Amino acid sequence: MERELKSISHAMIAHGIHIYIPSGHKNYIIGSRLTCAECNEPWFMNFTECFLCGAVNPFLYRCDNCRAFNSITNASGRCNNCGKQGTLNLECPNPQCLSNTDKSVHAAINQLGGVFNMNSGFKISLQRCLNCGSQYHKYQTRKIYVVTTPSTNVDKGKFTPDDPELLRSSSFVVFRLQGKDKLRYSLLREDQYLKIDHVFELTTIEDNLDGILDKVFSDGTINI
Amino acid sequence: MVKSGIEFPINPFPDVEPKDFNKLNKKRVTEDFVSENFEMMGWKVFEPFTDTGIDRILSKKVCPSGHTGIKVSEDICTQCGKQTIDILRFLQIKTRALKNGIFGFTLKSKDIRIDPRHVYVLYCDTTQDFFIIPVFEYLKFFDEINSNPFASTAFRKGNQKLNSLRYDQSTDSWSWGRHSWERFRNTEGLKKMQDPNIDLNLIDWVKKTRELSNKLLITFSSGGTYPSNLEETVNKALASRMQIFENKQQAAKAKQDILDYLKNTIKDGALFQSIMKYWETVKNLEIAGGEEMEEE
Repeated sequence: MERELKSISHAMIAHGIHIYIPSGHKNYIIGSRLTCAECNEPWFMNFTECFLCGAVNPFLYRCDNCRAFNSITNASGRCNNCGKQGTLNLECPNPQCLSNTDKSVHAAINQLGGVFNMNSGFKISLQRCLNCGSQYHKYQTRKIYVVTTPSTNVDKGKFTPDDPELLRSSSFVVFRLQGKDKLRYSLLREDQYLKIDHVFELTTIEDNLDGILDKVFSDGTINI
Repeated sequence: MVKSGIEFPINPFPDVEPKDFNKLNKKRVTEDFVSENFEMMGWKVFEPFTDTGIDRILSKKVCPSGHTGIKVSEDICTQCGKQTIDILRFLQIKTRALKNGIFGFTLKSKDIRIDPRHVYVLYCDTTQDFFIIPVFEYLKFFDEINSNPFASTAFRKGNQKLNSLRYDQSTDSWSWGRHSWERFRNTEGLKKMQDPNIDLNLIDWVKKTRELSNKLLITFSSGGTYPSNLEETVNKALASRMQIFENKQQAAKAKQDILDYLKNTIKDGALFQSIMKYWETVKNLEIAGGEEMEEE
């Protein structure tokens, strides 16, 4: 893998995108992430929510005696508010949740450490988008080529995309403009790149990669 | 392995036997084994640059009318002349040896994605069989046989070892309980996996998969962990949850209401801020390919 592809790969990972590499020595990478199908925000399966009401895990203890919230780093097992020992559980924070409104359910779950204790079996992986509440997610996948160029004037003859037929409608060429002090970026869709003349001028330049990645991973939403 | 006339899978690494690896060091070789076999069936295989939940992404060009053979990738369909389409699949690979005739494996709630292009590949390295099961097919199987392993607390705890997939050496056949799993085995699974309808009607399939996932996953069985009288109460609450969350605005509002409640109840600002910090950590862990945080 070329160093410029590696560099962009690491930058994309830092932006929450998973990188996949093709077999053989190719000049592109695949970027993919799980996103909300309706608002395009990232969807993290590692988040857990209350099985009963869908409240997101707040990572807090709650005292069964005085109802005060305590830090999850409290290792003593003693409530910081009332001082009682052995009353801290990882409860659901939603006061309307059955685990808080029904005494027998509350007691049964707290017997096993609370909704968000791994032993209780009352937490589940994220079922709703944290941003818009949609219940639909899908993978968003892009093929990305990287071209490093010293100027905005690009000689197309110097770069030929590998596997140009693959995922063409979701393929992009990211241009790294190598300045004296810093890198700047530009972007073309692969099909635009393939159509243009031998030498061309990059017009829209971004000062950082964020704007480029926003464009690459935009327009993933659908109407449900 | 050759029931369809196509040898799949084959051992691409004849210099080494599966038994030469133990379960701690065989991840790389078995994932390579899977990759090589799919490549031989015309799939382009992409491997993760860093460790993630998806072990491989696969792509293939297939006829939108489903004419493309399982060993072929083509630009134009040789049967009907149509331009082919790119299909993508996201593989989660589980490799296990056969133990007492059983292939045991674990799937957690985070492994149930509702993108229908998510595919489980169960690879038995004792018999060299693949089970290729798109997530919708996996859920549908349990729905059809009226069995729900997702309702148990063990599934949500993440320690539910499924021990029902059994190999019968005398008949060279696989079954789940009384139900044949030959439909997912090797070339049969390959056929299911390259169904272009999934990609052509992705949104419909996302919805169908969510519907099935809700039906099976948002159900409670008390098992031996909780008193049986809890079952009805909990399932009523789950039904009401489902009703509320049909409306995404209501779901988003419910989340905000809880955050507001926490903000108003927790007087210690740093303690409230710790929620956001943990959420950021969960995101970063997932990006880095780590497991979910365990609180206890």
